[in-house]
Amino acid sequence: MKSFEYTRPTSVQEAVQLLSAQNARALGGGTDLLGIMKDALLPTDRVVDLKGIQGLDHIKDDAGTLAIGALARLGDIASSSLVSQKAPALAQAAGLVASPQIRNMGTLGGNLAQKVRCWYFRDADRTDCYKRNGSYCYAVLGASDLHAVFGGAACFAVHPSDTATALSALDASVVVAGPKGQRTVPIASFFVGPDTDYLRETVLAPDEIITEVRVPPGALGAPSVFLKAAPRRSIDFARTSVGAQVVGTNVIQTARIALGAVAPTPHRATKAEAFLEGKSLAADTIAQAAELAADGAKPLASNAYKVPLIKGLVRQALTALAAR
Amino acid sequence: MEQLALVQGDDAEAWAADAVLTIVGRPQRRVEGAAKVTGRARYTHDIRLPGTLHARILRSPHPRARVRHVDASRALALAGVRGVLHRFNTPKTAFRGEETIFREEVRFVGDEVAAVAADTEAIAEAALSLIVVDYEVLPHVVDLEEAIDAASPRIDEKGNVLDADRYERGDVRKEFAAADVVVEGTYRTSTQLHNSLETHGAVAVWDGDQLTVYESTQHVFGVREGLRNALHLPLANIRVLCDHMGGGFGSKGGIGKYTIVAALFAREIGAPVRCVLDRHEENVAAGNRSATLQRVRAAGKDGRITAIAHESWSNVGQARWVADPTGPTKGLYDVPNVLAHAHRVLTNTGSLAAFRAPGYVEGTFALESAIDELADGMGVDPLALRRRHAGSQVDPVSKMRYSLKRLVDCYDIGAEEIGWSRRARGGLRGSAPGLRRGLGMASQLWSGGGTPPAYATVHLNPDGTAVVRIGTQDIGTGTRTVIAQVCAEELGIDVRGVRVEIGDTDAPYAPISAGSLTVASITPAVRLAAKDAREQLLDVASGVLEVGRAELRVEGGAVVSRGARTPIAKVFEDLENYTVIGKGSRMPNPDDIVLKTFGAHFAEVEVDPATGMVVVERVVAVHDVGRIVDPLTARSQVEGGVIQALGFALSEERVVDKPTGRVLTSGLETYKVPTVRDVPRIVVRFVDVPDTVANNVGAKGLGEPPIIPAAAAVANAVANGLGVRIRHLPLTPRRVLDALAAAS
Ligand SMILES: Cc1cc2nc3c(=O)[nH]c(=O)nc-3n(C[C@H](O)[C@H](O)[C@H](O)COP(=O)(O)OP(=O)(O)OC[C@H]3O[C@@H](n4cnc5c(N)ncnc54)[C@H](O)[C@@H]3O)c2cc1C
Ligand code: SF4
Repeated sequence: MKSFEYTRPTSVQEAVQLLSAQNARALGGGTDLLGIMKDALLPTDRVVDLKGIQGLDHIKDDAGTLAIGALARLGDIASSSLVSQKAPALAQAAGLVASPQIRNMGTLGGNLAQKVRCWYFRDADRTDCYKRNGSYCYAVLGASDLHAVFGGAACFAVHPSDTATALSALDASVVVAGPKGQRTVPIASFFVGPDTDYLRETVLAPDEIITEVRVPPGALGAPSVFLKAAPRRSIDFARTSVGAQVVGTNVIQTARIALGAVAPTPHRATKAEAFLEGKSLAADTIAQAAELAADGAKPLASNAYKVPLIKGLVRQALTALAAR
Repeated sequence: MEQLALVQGDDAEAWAADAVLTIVGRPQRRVEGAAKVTGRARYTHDIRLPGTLHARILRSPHPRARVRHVDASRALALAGVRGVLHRFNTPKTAFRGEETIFREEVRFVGDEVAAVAADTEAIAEAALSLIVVDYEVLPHVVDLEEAIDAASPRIDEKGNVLDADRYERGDVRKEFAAADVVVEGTYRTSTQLHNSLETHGAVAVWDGDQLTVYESTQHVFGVREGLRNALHLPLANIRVLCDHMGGGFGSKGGIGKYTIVAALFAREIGAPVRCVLDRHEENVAAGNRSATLQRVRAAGKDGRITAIAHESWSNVGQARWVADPTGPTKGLYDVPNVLAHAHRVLTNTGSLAAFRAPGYVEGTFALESAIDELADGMGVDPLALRRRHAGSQVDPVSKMRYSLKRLVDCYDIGAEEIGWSRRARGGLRGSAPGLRRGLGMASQLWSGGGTPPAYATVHLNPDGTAVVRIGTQDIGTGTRTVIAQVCAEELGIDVRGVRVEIGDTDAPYAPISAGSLTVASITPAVRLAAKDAREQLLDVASGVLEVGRAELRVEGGAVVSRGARTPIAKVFEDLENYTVIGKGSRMPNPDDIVLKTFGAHFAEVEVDPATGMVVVERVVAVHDVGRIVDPLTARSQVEGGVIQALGFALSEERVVDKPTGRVLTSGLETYKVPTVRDVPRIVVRFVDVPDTVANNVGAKGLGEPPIIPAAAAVANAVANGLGVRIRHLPLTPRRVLDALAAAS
């Protein structure tokens, strides 16, 4: 690994300042960043370890809002009874990330800000892929099993975060701190696709960090679910995942269906959501919503299987919600 | 060619089925277990001799190219770099039929181009990027089916497809014409990567003209032979050591280019040199199980299988041999008409290496899928159909009798255990709405009879403990423990009183730890050495105790006669350092008899048609491998084999990027070996009848049998549950969903 400067600020302000240097990167649990540094995928001259900052690992009820600090560990989120009760999809998603070891190190902030797992991007020698500041995408003519069926442009890598999918279904927002202070970004606009900027996956500027994730009272307590399909049952990224929540008894007021690992950002199945509003979760309604969830999918050469997978997972997610 | 068998001494009577054994056949803790779990066990990767330098290898970024020029000047100028080897400055070194370890035409991404030795691994790594290589890039092909296609680049003057082996018995054509039912299928298996926990590697050190090599290997003597040929050294000048070893699965049968790199640098620089591969190198350049394309036709008439034709093509990379998948087709079932034809296909990918039952894993999947398809076509239960062809005690290929064959017993035990009578055509309902459940099974045929030569010595210390010396190696399978058990049993002492010295070419010769031949090759020699030592001890004891030799025996560490017990230490007490040295050599296998192992696996799976997820719930693995020397180590062999087979069946697949020839799955995140959560309940059962014809211990091999039938059993169970057969492993969600989409 190339040598780098290690810093350990004790306040958000200090962290943000340290991040203003060239090629400085925030460090949470390091389960993604260290791999990137070992393979020299992205130039890293300074590491700003956020773990020295007190009070960023909370999981609490903040006047009706569920507030989770960016440094909260995925393992703690998965086993928190507060999260399981109020936002089950998030607890399930956190519990399905990787392995116990990674959940014990990995933080929520790092999970949302992690880089893509495209197997071309992760191959250290492919310095000319768009995400490495190059001008080529290998997935288009190559093996696209892992890649996007929605929203690709130039780059077709999917966002790998499981918690992002769940949080999208839970209408969460992300609290971001930067040199000019703090801002709160709705999760739907937190992630950016390659059409906006293929070099990053979120709205975060290099000197901004996530400090907290907030799930609003309206989304708390309503049934929600997260399902994930991957070749292995552990230590595996989703090939497709779904986070779903329905609000309203008997008749659905609001439905949110977020799909993971099918697009460069968490993908909301808006047509299916609109279709569900005002209906109840009967079997045929579920089946039609599942069909609509895959609407507009444009597979590449080797990822057409994601289309039936989306439909299958959405059907199972809605069926699970109907059983509540 | 007739093999010359030199027989030394007499064999011992085989332990009979009803022999009362107190150590053999009972579970023993691994004798090296404590060293392993406390981290004291030293592996090749752990060897750090004073002043060790580190070598790293520069590998081709192109799937095919000519190396026109190498400029190492900038690398050599880097502080801490001690040398660079490449094709223009390296002495001729014979390696696998070639004259050099750095080819002029590199033939896959990862092919060796140059090597650097430096004070640290990091410096060596940094220096690699400073070597400038001028490549002339040539057209390439990496995919098996594209390589077969005549329109693809021809990467060898003889063509890409080479005939490997053809076999015929009976008249297949005639039987297909006369059959009631004929089924035909094209089956595909993917390239499987060994992923031994310890990667390939060697540490070399010279003392004058004496070369010592520490190598992670399945055959210390094979490494010695390889070094002799590569470096033209007398055998006497080479010593190879392998103390503990983190797996090989067939891929560590001899030296690698890294061994030669380490030895050359060590000689040139005059310091120990360590050259070990990282995970990425391991997965691009250290071997694999070939991807295959197989066509099987099977014919049935009057409720019996009448003919099978099996043609196969294997992606061997650049290898000069093929792991023929048609072995099970020829030998597993008593079918009168068989045609088998294997092809070797060259591609610009890393070459195959033997991989735990090479060929048989791939071939059993195709054959046993086809047998199930035939059974379906004939409307008979697939197990019942197999039974009709499994009972014969004569090998259909050689027409000679088997020493022992209990395949039908395996069926009985497995069918009972899995509840085969529940199996229904079209499958069963799953545990939740929409899920499908299926049962499947497949049979196993493999060798495992062992072979001479193998030699052991056993010497008794004055305190009554013993040391066994034998030049085998324990590749993680429990060889040390099994040796200790057989020695202790024969000698009449406690297992903890036996020290096992292995992994050293200065010990008596033992064969490669591969081909499931270790136990059946070495334990008969160990037993004879222990017997020799025991008899010498009794001679001495008879004199010391003044009791007739015939009245004495050794039991529990003591010489016993008519109720009187004299501890061995006591016998030796007044004899100073008198040492008894027993020696034993492996006797030849019986003439005109075939030694084989058999088994059957039964799988129960649940499939989710909505997500394409296959969950294996239970595997029942039954094997007929003669006497079980250690039930604990035997069970762990079977569990490991089944798990590795499940990876092959469900998730493991090397993906190569066709345009660039690069392996996209060279790390353990993208190359998916099963995790502990993917492992089902594995029920292990043995027929456990000693093969007293085979050798004096009655044991045969168990390393490979358990990986052979599990994938086929799972594929048959999935086809049973889903009602759709997927003829392409692994059965990933993608393949299941694609197959379901195509079927609907
Ligand atoms: C084998 C393996 C399997 C995995 N499987 C999964 C999986 O199934 N699902 C899944 O979702 N993920 C998976 N991951 C990805 C990921 O590493 C973890 O999920 C983890 O949550 C990342 O958190 P971290 O704190 O370790 O991040 P780090 O490695 O510390 O950081 C990741 C990135 O986020 C940035 N960052 C960290 N904290 C902040 C912050 N507060 N504000 C802004 N930027 C920040 C870092 O600069 C870095 O770029 C896996 C990783 C591995 C190695
Ligand atoms: S999908 Fe994106 S990350 Fe992957 S190769 Fe293409 S541009 Fe690079």
